[in-house]
Amino acid sequence: MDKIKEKIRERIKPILQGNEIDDDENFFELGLVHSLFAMQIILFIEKEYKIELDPDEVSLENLSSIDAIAEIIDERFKKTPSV
Amino acid sequence: MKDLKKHRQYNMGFNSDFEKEVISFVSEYITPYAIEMDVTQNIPNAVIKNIADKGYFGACVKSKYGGQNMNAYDIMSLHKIMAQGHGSVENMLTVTGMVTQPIQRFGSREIRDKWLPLIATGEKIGGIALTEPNAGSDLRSVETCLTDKKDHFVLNGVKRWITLGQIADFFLVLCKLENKTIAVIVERNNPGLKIKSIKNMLGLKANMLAELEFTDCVVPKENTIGSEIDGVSTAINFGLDEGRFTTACGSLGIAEAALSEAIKHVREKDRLNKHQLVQKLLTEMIVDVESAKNFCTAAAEAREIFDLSMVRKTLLAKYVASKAATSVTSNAIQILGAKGCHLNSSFTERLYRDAKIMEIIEGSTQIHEVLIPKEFLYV
Repeated sequence: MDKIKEKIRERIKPILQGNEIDDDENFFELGLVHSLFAMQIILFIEKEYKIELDPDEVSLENLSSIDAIAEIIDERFKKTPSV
Repeated sequence: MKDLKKHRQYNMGFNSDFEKEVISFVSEYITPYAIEMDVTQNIPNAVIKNIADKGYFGACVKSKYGGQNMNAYDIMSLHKIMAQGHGSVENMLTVTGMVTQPIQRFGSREIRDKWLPLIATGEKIGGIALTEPNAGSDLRSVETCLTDKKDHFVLNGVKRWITLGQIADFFLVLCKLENKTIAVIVERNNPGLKIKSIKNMLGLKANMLAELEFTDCVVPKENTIGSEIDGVSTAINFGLDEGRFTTACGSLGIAEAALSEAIKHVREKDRLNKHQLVQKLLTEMIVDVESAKNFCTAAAEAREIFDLSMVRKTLLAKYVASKAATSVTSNAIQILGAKGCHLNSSFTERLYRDAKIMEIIEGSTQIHEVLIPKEFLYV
């Protein structure tokens, strides 16, 4: 889980423009991300972890913080450990 | 390595086997009908059937749903060559891709199983309803409204200039639900949907545009596609991304064809061949076409390897290629003179009119001038 979060932080870092955020902070509410951000996060998850997200996994709740994103990736690993 | 080889091949201007197949298809089944399409302002059923039989409607539909699941380079070739046959045919396939991607990525299992096989075979034609009388490029300001009635939704509002509106069997409609944007599928035979044809546009004259009026239109709850995450429906953003890429490739096709027409004309007129001001125009056209080709190929490469830069490279490709198409077709007319100005008989004048529309659809040049800097500032 920590490794997953580290990778997400790495990806989010340039977008946050030097602002430090906690893993549970909602980056949509911070107003630092633009309208194509969700697309990029989805592409990042699918490419990095070679998974195809189900439509019900792609929601504001699941993509709004480092913790939330790590959670859906971790859940996938639990379901299909070979992924 | 395979991708790199293909990238080099495209950049050097070689035609892949697939591109040769599309060239042959367009010569036989599209070009002979091109003038008729502009005059009658529709795509004949025979043309649509031939495209369906060839499987081109399923270009980006996954194989498990009966689609072609083409790689990004072949999609680039398909749209480039189709636009040379007729811009509206290319745009019909663009719209199909824009409908396919949101359904494929965000539709429920039932929605995917129902619609994707029908799209892939061309059995059902889809339209995407985004633009409204008061909301064009700024999709956050859509006024078409979805109301929750517990066991179903009700849709009210007006969509305008909807490509394929005159013939589409179903529409992916962008609307607002409690201040959030969402997409829903509405079938043509819905009693709450009234369709009015729109004709006599400047270019892409066979786009079969329509106005869609939704009045207390009942929409089953299971017809929703995705939800808003960051301002605009993410499903629609994926659709627009596909549309930008294919429109960029179509624009490249238009620019290449106009350049080719201009070169043919200059070669025939030896006097023009030596004129330095004509050479200047040709130089600008060649640079525009090569630039558009490079940006489209870079976007195709990023899409093929699923690189995160695909979003920004697609924006750049659409911006550069559609502007190039406008500029190159204008210069081509300038070189051809009166010969290039005959309405409905000069190939170049159609390219010129179609090119202008490419700069407006799937995010205007000005919207790209807002989105592109954001991409680079944030990433």
